[in-house]
Amino acid sequence: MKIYEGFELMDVCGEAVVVAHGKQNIDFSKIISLNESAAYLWRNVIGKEFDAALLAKLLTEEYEVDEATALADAQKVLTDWHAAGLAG
Amino acid sequence: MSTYTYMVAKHRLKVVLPDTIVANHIIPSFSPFASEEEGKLLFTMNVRVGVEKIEESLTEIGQFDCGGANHGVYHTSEGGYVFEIYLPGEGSPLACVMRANPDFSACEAMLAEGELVQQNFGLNNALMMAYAFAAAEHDTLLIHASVIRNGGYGYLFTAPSGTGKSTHTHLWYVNIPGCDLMNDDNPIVRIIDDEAIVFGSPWSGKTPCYRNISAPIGAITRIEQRPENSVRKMTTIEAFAALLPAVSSMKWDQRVYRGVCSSISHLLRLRPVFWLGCRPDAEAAHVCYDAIHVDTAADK
Repeated sequence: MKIYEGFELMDVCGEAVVVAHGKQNIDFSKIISLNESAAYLWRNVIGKEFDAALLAKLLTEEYEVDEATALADAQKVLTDWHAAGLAG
Repeated sequence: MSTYTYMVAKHRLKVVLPDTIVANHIIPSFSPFASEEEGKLLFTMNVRVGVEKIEESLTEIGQFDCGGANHGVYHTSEGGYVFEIYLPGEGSPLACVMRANPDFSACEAMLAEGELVQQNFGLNNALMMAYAFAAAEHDTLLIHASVIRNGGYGYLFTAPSGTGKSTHTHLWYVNIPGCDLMNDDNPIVRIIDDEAIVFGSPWSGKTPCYRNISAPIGAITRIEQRPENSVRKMTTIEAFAALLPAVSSMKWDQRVYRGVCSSISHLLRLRPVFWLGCRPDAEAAHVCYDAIHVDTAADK
């Protein structure tokens, strides 16, 4: 999976917000806010191919979390980002 | 050729008109903003009558409805833009073609032959877009709002057209002592030395309210029609999502879009954004005023 072109993570008064720009995203009118761990994952995989295993690895490196929980959370992030139209 | 200079929200702009056209006739709403002051120019708009075919190869970005008038937007091969501005209404004729360089510092407006009122519409719209997109990276926002002044502060009300922005600011005017209307449709918000300031502009929708005045911003309020009057403060994310569609922007232009997003973020650090659910009645004005107004007595 890869984050689509034109999506940018911005700092809005300390909140992590994803906005879409570019001609290909003219009809994308959502604004998506990420929590701290999702923003951390975003910054580490932007522009790269990734899967649940890579996200889980990033989570275990940064947070005190066991591998099974990390993998379940990573899977959820993948599903959420795909459903929101951010990555595919 | 005659050159006219204007100062709009402390940005200087120059309009060059053919001698057959008088500025006060074609863009009368700019008269209060005429200025002799020297300084850096935000942009220059060279105007001529007659639309010539543009020889460059253009890439269409899209056709957009801007307050009932169609705007065709095209990219030029040099990274600039061409806008076709049509008169309001479906299938209406072309009023103006504007060509701009990538940062909108140099613009050209070709007005269709026709009546003055149509040329006014075309040039006014061209100037509004040139202003918004040239100023986007200078902590400057052209915002779709009605703004009322009270106690020295400006209070902005935003909502999609037809919700009741003007109705609500009029209710303040009638029911809250010491109010005056600063602008009814497109004021300018600037952040200067970490202070958020709202300025009147030459663009004010259907209300001829073209005032060269400014005030520090008290608050910004997003209006929705509701059977009961109530106010609450919005979270940062809600406020960002409410303001972004209210500001003139171009999503496909990274310079403009980043500028707009960062200015809104800056604004949210400085001033509160409220949500108002309201009826079109006097109580709405009182409920809102009580909740959002800056206590000027406490400042002293």
